[in-house]
Formats: sequence, structure tokens, C-alpha cells
Amino acid sequence: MMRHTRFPILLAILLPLAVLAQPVKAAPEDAFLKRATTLYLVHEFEGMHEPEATASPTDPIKGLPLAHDEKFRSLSRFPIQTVLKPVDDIETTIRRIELLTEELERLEGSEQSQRTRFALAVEYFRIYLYYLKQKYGFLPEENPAALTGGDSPVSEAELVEYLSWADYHVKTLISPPGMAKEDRNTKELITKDSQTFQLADDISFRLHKDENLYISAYYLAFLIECERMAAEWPPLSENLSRNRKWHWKDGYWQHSIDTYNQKTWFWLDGLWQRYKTGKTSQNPSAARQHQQSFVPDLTNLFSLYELYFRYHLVSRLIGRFQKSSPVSDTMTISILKRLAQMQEAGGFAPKGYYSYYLKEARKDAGHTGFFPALFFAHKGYAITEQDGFRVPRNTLFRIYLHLFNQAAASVRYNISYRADVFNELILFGVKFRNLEIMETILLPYADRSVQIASMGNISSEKIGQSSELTSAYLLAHILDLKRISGLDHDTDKYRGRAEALLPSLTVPANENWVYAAAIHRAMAAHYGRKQETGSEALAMYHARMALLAPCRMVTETFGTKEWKRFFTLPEQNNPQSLVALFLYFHNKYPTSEFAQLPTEYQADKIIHETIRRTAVSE
Amino acid sequence: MHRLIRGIQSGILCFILLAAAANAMPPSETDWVEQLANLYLQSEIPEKDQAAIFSIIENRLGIREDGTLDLMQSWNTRAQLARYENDSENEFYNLYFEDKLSLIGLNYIYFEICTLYGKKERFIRYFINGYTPNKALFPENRQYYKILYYYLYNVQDHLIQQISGTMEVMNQKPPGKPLLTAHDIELLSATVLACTQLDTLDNSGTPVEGGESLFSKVFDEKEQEWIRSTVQWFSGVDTHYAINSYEWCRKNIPLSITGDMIGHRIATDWQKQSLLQRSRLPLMFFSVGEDAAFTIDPLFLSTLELLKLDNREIDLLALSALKAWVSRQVRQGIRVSDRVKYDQILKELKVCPTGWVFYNLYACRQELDTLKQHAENWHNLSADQQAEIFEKEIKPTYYTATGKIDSVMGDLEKIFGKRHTYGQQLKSASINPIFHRYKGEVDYYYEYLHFALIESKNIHTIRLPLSGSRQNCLNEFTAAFVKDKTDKRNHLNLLNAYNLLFRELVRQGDIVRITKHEKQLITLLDAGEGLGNALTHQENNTYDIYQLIAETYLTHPQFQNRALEIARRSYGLARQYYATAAEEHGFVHDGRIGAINNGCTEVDDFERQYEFYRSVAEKLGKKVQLLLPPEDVRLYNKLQELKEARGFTI
Repeated sequence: MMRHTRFPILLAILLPLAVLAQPVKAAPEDAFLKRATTLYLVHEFEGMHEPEATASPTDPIKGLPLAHDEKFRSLSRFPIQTVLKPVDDIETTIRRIELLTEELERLEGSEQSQRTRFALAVEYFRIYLYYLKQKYGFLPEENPAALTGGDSPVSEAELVEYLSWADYHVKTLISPPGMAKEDRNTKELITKDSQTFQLADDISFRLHKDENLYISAYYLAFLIECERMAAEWPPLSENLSRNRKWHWKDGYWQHSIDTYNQKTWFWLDGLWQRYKTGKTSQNPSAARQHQQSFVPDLTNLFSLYELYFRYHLVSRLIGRFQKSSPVSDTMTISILKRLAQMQEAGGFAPKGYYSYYLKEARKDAGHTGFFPALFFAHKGYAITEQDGFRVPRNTLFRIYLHLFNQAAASVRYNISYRADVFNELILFGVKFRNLEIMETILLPYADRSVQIASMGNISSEKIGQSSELTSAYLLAHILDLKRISGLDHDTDKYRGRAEALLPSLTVPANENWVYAAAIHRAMAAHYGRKQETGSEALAMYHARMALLAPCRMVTETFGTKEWKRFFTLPEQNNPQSLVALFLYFHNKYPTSEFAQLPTEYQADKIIHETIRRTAVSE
Repeated sequence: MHRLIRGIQSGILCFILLAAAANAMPPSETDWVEQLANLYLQSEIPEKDQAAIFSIIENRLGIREDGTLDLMQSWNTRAQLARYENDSENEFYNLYFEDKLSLIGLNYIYFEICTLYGKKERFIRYFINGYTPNKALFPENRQYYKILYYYLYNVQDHLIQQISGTMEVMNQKPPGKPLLTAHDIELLSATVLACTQLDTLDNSGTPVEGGESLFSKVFDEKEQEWIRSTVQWFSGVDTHYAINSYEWCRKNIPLSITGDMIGHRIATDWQKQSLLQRSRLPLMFFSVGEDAAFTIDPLFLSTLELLKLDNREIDLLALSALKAWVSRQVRQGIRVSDRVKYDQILKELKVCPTGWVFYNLYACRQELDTLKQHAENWHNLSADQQAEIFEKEIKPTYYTATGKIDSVMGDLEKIFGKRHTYGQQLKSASINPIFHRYKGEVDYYYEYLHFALIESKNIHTIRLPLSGSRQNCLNEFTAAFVKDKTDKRNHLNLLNAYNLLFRELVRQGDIVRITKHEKQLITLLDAGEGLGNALTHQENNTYDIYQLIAETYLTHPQFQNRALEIARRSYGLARQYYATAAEEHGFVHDGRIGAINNGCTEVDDFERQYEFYRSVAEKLGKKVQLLLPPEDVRLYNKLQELKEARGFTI
């Protein structure tokens, strides 16, 4: 009875405490994760630098070498954006907005005022992005201190305001989607290239007085709407204009982003058709027809498509908009196809970027639900190598971990493809050299990756492609860090896993022996310290295997006679210390069955030669 | 000539009309109007007529002997004039007189004639006693401003003479009797008001495109120039600052005179800022002079200039204006770096009780920065250079800074009551820690530079008593720290001050005082106070202090055990930072802390402090392995092993 009466009291005391304690720690970070997502996904940061080479031979403290990841490094950066350039000098932009506002007041109601409105919308959108980066991007160098109370100097309300102004100006140019329905039949529909679109919807304006650059108002509206939804803000127009003529209905916003998206797509599609016909047409009449209309040059068209593509993916990622309809699947693929074509034609860097992604997007039997998350997850490679972000690296890791996870979970048909995603995640995660992340977060993924891959038929010699190899790579890093840090009291539990994975590292003769040797060495060090029966033999065995790994690689690659190549192996992999390791245990446990000098792979010769060389040098 | 002829013509015309009217009707109550017009419209008014004009107007307006105004009489006249104008039978018309058929017009005639014929006394008597107190009666039209102009014209020379004369007398030693009389001060007050009004007129005149502002309509270009320079003189900050810098003036000249000027300046600025605020852009511009500026800097500085006048009359207005603008900059400033910068300033502004305090606090920043800069590259200089710079630059800078910060503290004491030193801590509950920090920093940097100077000279034989300001900065920093533990700078400053103190004590070999201060320091460092908690491991230099103390203790047999304790604390601090770093990098497993190999700097500190502890223990004949838990020893050995990168060697 006592228990029954006490329990609610205790609960009554604890509950408010729990409620109080929870948000204090979680709230700012969560708000950050929610808000910063689009920023860290969609936009390249100014001043992002190429990371330095990670392993330098003079600094052996760095530990095991990382797998080669040039592929991901190049995938992690966006091509340079030329349409919506970032604000480089905020004062010039502000002055421009002032001028445009004055111009608008002067021209109010005239036809020219529309162009001014559009320019204003673009400028406001740009300063929105500028302050968004100020809030969530790099820390300013000269004064990293935030405002009093730890706030960022830029407030959330301010960001809403800039985006609202952009939204307000662009909304005056386009008809509200809900209104147009009734008189739709009165509008002229024209059919062209089997695409149906409304002629009246092509509302585009010249940008920055560039003759080759027109942007549709719907295009901008789509970007703004994506930003708004990513930030989970309420509809923007309510902030500024309360006396709108039409009434916003429930579900209107879902409807509106669909509409903007459709119209943007029709417009972009039209540009593409004109570009294609303009380029390839031999028919003079068709060419003449297109002379009248605007055909963008390749650079701008590529940039337009590219930017649209990013937001297209964001809108899919946010998940409120056509998450997995066949239409959006097809759309993603066809944008990619065109981007790949244009990239090849224009030779835009980074080379082969979009053709790689095109291949990747087709991996799940035409279903592309996984693709947005994967695409953005790759961006983590570049982002996490920068210093001075407002968030600690571990938090950044969580953002991208979530994306990898989401990507893997969304693979629908080609289940074995999930293993590839997990492998990429492991390559990404190991870079942090954080033992806890590797052990508690990455290891389960490695196990799942191996499981899934065993169903399919993936075999490769490259780390990152083969699941077993990748798992072994992760294991080598974990065990090596454990050995180095002295936290190896539970290395025992990895023994089974190590035995299962080691063959994959040693079978093909290549650089992977480093990881095999690392695993063996860690095991040897662990058992060498243990005071249990059998640990003596195990230590000796692993020391021997550690030495055999490079020996085997050398003889299998270069032939038995070329065993002296052992001494030409790269310095930072430190092969000689493996000889020393073996000799140490050899002297320690002379009676062990593994203590005799190994004769396979010319190891005995290598040992003798090492001893001789050391003696000479001393 | 032209005017003369016209005057004669109209005079004749008037005369005829007047005669006709006189014949036709009985004398009416408004006869004096025509009479006045006739007298006034002469091109040259003889003495007799002047007297007549004065007596008419004085009667009508009700100007008494002493210059005061009889309002009943004025109102009567106003009613008469209104009736006279509306009277359709009244055919009297003259272009030059029409606009003067009002009270302000009559005033205008009165003042104009006074000015034209050198009746200064009469002018001033009426202007000060009668006209100014009742100026609400008169509309602010061109005649109104013209009158202000005449007034300035009449008094300017005299006033400037008196003021500069006074200053000259004041500057003599011993100061003589000031020339300014009570009457002059009255004149000055009216002059400043007139100047502010004319300045408002000048500023408000944003001419519509092509049109003229009222200011340029009333005054021709020469007059405009003259007015501007006069306004500049009488409502400039410099003049008022100069006047207020004399004790006698501060006692005898009312604050409201300067207050009027400051009030006017701030109101003008305020109006401009709020006009800009209404622009549609959510970002903030600030108006300075003609253009909109991107940053508040110039506006801030010009307003700050006003605060140096120490005028309590207007303090609240000036401070709240400044707060409003600065917080606008913090919230809506265009450059993010400006927002951060002014956030700090706003924080200080908010705790300043008066504008004068803020002015001085802000002013001592510059000297403080100079001192800090010197401190930064002090060690790159040779001893001779140091000595030279110290005498030539640092001493004067320090005295200026101390002067400023002391006047801040003096003012604060006036408001919040005296500060008392109880033991080592400065107790005065109400003074904000920011002030303590500034005062402490001024002292600290001076002492820091000074100490390096003595130290570099290697004068071991000289025993200096602990100088007062070294003790002061410790007290101030302690007070700042105790009051605000969230500010990192308070932690840093206090540790720096202790560092300097111990360095000096060690130099002097004053072991007794070292123990005394060590106990204080330990109390501050312990959990209750938590000195150093807010610092990251790169910023924390407590190790240096520990080392200084421990090494001194080692040389004294009775303190050797204390040395071991200090070394243990030093190691404990480094271990604590290391543990945090290990946690962050994921090298904590089942409660064990692992060796980190990614080159983070906490590792170096840990190793260094471990070795320091070991060396102290060894000197006392003890083994560190027995003093520390085995995990720590293992961790240290593991870290050493990592340095041996080859691993096993043959």
C-alpha cells in the first residue's frame, strides 16, 4: 500500500523537474538543427577552404591512415552558382534596395514598377540569405563573442522579416493559385512539345540588367516557399499585408508550393526546349521562331537548373511535398539528366559531378525517395572539415548522420544499396577519429551493412565499396584507437568480429594490409597484458600475424624474390615496428608455439635483414 | 530715393484719407492705427516721432515702465485690430503696413525702430521682461524670427565681450571678479533660446523642390551667414563646455541654459532618426547631417560629446535618446560587427546612472587600450626603450585614465554611498561590476608595465613595499568577480592580478604575505566561488600562479608540505580540463579516461602539470606514483608512449 501512495507523490515531484530540466539543454540545439538544415545543405559558404592533406609522414601521432576519399571530397562541394550570387558587400546591397524602394514609390502602378518589384524581391531574398549565414554560418573572426545572453546578433524575427518582404514583392507579380481556378477555362491553353502550359504564367524578369539572364517570378516564389517551409515558419504574407483580398484556406499552402513548383518546372522546361532546338535545329523556320524568344546561354541555364535542383531536393526532403510520387521520381531523374548533359557540354567543374549522381539516382529501380538525403549527406564531407562554424563538430556529425540514416531508410527496392549508404557513412564518420562515435554509432551500421551485403553480391577491393572491407576498416580504427588510448580492457569482445573480417583485408594484395596489421597489433598488445590462460598464445599469434600481413603483401605483389621491397614500404605505415613487435613477444614467450620465426612469405629473411640494418645504423 | 518718394506719396494719400475720415466721422477707437502708420511710414523718423511711436505702441500693447506686459491691454488691442481689419468701410490700405496689423506686427515695429535708432536699452528691457515671457501670444511667422534676429544683433557683441572677459579674469591667478552680471546671464539664457529657435527654423527648412524655405525667405544670404555663425557660437558644445569649466560659472549660471542647448540638439537628432525609422527597410540607417549613415558611430560620438557637459537637467533625455539609438543599432544594425560592438556599449550604458559617468567611462577606454597595447609588446622592447616609453607615454596616459575613472567612481559614490574595504574585499553593493573592472584594469596594466620595468633592471637589492595600486587592482577585480561571475573577463583579470602580485612578492621574498594571499586565492578558486570556471583551458593561466607559489614554498622548509598541496591542485586542474576534452573526443569508456592522440592542447597541459607535480614530490623525497591513483599514472605513461611513435623498437 505504501508503494501505491508514494509513487504518485514521487511522480508529482519528479515530473515538473523533468519538464523543467529538459528544454534548457535541448532547446537551442534543436532549434539550430531545424533551422540551419537548409543552410548547411543548400548553400556553399564563402571562404570555405580546401582541407589540407590529412596524413603527413612527419607526424605519426595521427594514427592509422584514412581511406582514400577523393570521390566524396569532390562530391561534397557545389558547382559555383552564377544566378543568385551571394551578397559580398552588404552596404551596396542595402543602398540598392533603398534606390529600388524609392523607384517603386515613384512608379507605383505602372508597368515598369513590376520589374522594380521583382528586383526588390531578389535583393531581399539575397539579404535574407546573407543574414542567415551570419546567424548560423562561420563565426566572425574579429569578434567571436556573441551578444549578451549568448544570443546570435541576428534575430529570428529579423530573418522572417526579410523573407516576408521578398515574398510580399514576388506575390504581387503572380496570381494567387486559388483564384485562378474559376476563370481557368477562359485562358488560352497552348500545346507545344507535348507539354501543356499556360502562356500567361510565364512571368519572367531580367536579373541584374544581365541580357542573358531572365528569372521567372514563380521560380523565386518557389525558392522562398522552400526556405519558409524548411524553417517551419507560418505563411509569410500574413506578416506584412493583412488586407489581402482573398482568404487563405487550409491546405492552401501545400497547394501553393505545388503550383509554384509546376509553373517553375514548365518555365525551366521551356527554356530547355528552346535551348535544345536553338542548338540542334537544322530547320530554319524553327530557328526563326525561336529567335524571337529568350534563349539563355549555357552557363546561366546550367546555374538556373542547378539552383532549382537543390531546392527541389530540399522540398522533397522536408517531406511535405510529393514525397514519393512517380512524378517527382521522374522529375529528379530528368533534371539530373539535363544537368549532366549541360555539365558535359559546358565543362563546368567539378567534372562528372552530375553524371555520377545520375547513375546513383537510378540505383533504386527508378524510385528516388532516398536521393535527396544522400545528396545532402555527402555535403558533410566538406562542411565538417572547416573550422570556425557556430556548431561543434559533433553536432554537425549528428546532422549528417541523420541524413545518411534517412537516405538508407528510404531505399525501397534495391535493399542491398543500403549497404553502400552505410559504407559511405562509415567512411564519413571515421574521419572524426572519435572513439565513442565509432564504437557506439558506426559499429552497428557496419554490422547491418555486412548483413545486407551478404544478401546481395557486392565484392570490391576498395574500402567504401565492399561492406566487409569497410567494416574491417572501421574495426581497425577502433582497435587502433583503443590500443593507443589504453581503453582496451574490452578488446576481447571484438575478437570474433576481427576473425570474421580479417580475411577480407588480406586476400587481395594491396595497401589494406595496414589495417590488418593494426587489428593484429591491437590484439597482441591487449592479450600481452592479460593475465589469463591462453592469452599468452593469443598475443604471440597476433604479433606473428601482424608481421605476416606486410610480408604477405610484398611477396604476393612483387614475387618471392623481391622480399626486400618490404623495406621500401611507406614510412608512415611503419612496417619495421611490426618486426619489433614480433621480436618483443618472441623474447617474452619463447616457449609459445607461434614464437618460432615464421618461414612463410620470406618473413624470416625480413626479420634477419631488419636486425642487420638496425645494428648497422646503430 | 525711390522709397522716399513712395513714402511721401503714400503719406499724402494717407493724410487725405485721414482728413476725409476725420471730417466725416466721429473719432473712432482705431484712429491710432492710421496715426501709427503715418509715423512709421516715413523714410526717416525724427526723434520726436520715434517717441510718439513708442508711446502709441506702449499704450496699445500695455508695456509698462519696467518692460513687463499688461496682458489685458494686449488682448484689447488684438480685438481692436481684428475688428479694424474686418471693417469693410475701412478703406485704409498700405502694402507696407498691411502685414503689421497684428500684435506681432506692433511688436515688430517697436523692435525694429529700437534697433534702427539704437535704443538698445529699451529693446532689451521689453524683450527680456515683457516679450519673451509672453511669447506664446505671438505666432511664429517671419516677423517673429526677424525679432529674434534683431535681438541677437543687439546683444551679441556685449555678451561675447562679457563672456570672454570673464574667462580672461578667471584664468588669472588668483582669479578676479567676473564681469558677467545677473542681467548678462539672463540675456545669455534668452540668447540661447533664440539661437535654438533660429536653428530649428534653419533645419526644418527642407525646401520643396524649386521652392524656398522660410529661413531663406526671411533672411537674405548675408544675414543667414551671420545667424549661422552666431548660432554656432552660442549653442555650440565648445562654448558651453568652456563656460562650464569654471567653478564660478557652474555655481552662478543655471544649468537650464546649457540644458536648452542640449535639449535642442537631441530633439533635432531624434526627429531625424525617427524619420528614417519610418522608411520601409527593416534594417536601420542613422542620419548624420545630410545623408543616411550605415552605422551609428558618428551619431553616437556627437551625442557623447553632449554628455561631457555634465548637465543633470537634461541627463535623462540624453541618456534615453542614446539608449534608444544604440539598442536600435544592436537590433537592426546593418553590419553584424557593429551590432556586437554596440551591444557591449549598451550594456555599459544601461548601468550608468548619469550621462557624465558614461562619458568618463567611455573616455577612459582609449587610454586603457593604449596601455593594453603597450603591455602586449612590452617584452619585445629593450630595457632602455621601456624606461623611455614609460616616462614619456605611459605615465601621462595612466594619469589621464585615472583622472577619468576616478571621477566616475567619485560620482558613483555620491549616488550610491561610500565604498568600504573590509579585509580584502571591496564592499559596495550597488556599484556595478563593470566600473570595478574598468578601474581595476587601468591600475593593473600600469602596474604590469611598471613591474616589468623594475624586473628587467634586475635590481634585486631594492625592496619595494607593495605599492598601493597593486593592492587596489586586486580589490577592484575581486569586487567585480564577486558581483559578476558570468563574465569571463572578471575571471581573467583577477587571475592576472594575482599573478602579478605573487611575482612581486616572490621577488621580495615576502613569504608571510605569500601565505596570506595564497589562502585568499585558494578560497576564491574553491567550489564556492569558482574562480576560473568560466575559462577554457587555453585562457586559464592559474598554472603559472601555482608554480610561482610552489617553487617559493619549496625553498622554505616549514612550507614544503604546502608546496606539494599546491602542485597537486595544479595537476588537478589540468586533469579536469583533460577529462573534459577526452569526453568531447569520445575517449571516455566505462568511466575510464583514455589517451588522446589527435594533438589537442589539453594533452600538453596535462603532461606538464603531471611532471611538475612529480618534480615537486621528488624534491620532497616522495613518489608521485604513490600519491596519485594508478589510472592517472597509467594515463600519463600511455601519453608518453604515444610520443614514441615507432611503437616497439628493436
